[in-house]
Amino acid sequence: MKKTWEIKEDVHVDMGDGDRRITCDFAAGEVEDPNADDLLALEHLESQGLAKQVNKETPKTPAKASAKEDDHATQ
Amino acid sequence: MPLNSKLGLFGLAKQTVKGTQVTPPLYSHGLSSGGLAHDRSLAPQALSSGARTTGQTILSSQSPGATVQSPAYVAALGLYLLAAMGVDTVTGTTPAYTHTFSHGALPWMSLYQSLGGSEYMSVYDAKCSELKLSWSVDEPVLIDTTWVALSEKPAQATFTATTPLDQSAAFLSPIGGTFQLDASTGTPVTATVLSGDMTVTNTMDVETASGSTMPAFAQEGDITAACSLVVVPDDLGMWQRAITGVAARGGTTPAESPIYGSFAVTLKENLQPTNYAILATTGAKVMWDCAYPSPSTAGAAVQLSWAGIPVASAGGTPLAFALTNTVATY
Repeated sequence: MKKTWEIKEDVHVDMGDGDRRITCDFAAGEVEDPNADDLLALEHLESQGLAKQVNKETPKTPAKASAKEDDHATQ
Repeated sequence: MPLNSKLGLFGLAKQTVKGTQVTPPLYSHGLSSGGLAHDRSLAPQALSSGARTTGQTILSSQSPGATVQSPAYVAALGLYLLAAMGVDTVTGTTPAYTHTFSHGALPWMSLYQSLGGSEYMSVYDAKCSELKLSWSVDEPVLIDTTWVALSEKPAQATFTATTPLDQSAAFLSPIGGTFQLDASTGTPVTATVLSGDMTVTNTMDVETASGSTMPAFAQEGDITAACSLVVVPDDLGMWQRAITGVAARGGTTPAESPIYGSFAVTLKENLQPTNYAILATTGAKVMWDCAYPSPSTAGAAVQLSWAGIPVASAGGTPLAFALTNTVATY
């Protein structure tokens, strides 16, 4: 599934990744399938309340154990 | 003819990678004190010999860097804050952009200095280990920075900054600013402030490795912050609340745990009716300390010197800086 981020307003980010700098510009709207640098910037913007991942995968609920397994567990 | 020390400019630029000096500097401006430095660890060799003299001197390390003070020029201030904080998030459109600074990996910087009209020096692969903004009454806001560097050009070629700020009047001033403090809550209230300062310190591990006397790396570590405000109070209610933690006056015993307060200060661009340049500084969670004032024979107004230790709220920074100016990006 493509990762999509929603950007609230036009924003520029200047941040470090080790010894190099990352600068990213995002226009208000949606960003699909960001590259690695954009992803770092988007995660920073999310912490600042300026971006939100709109299709974030939610942790799956553990499947209910089968009756057979339940029987095994109680033996 | 001697060199004239009045002729001196400091320049700075942000590098995109370590190891590549940026030429020319983005900004240059005059200094009120300080400059580039080249410290060397020199000592006579500790060795017995056939005489009481020592025949050799050992050069064990060299430390390029800078300690500089200047007015807080509103264009360059954002670059200084980026160098000390690490992350700049910019919103807004021309002519006013808002730069919100937060902590992250610090950028490598190139620093320049001219002297006497004919001498030039530079250091690069530099990091900002400390930034302090201060003001007294209504005098220009000053910025003090301390830098460590890994590389140096003792004989730098002539430079002309992309944006020279020499003799510019566009620096921050307390005039027209707002000053709020509370010593026991997160909601600061307007106070009569005489002076103040805010400091961000990046603990910097600078090491020399075997093979060269020049430093091999500069690694930023712990971040600490400090702030202070000198206030003329109408009463000592805030002092009492800071000690007792009781919201109303009349708390009878000192609190046994820290009481957190807050402050908010805005400083504006000197003489500019548009006020595009505003620095808003806040400390949302500050442990304040203040000595109980003493009587004086002169009968002057009582002053309280609040010294604060700002700490980070969840996901935040100890000191938050938001600078609005006409610079889109650094």
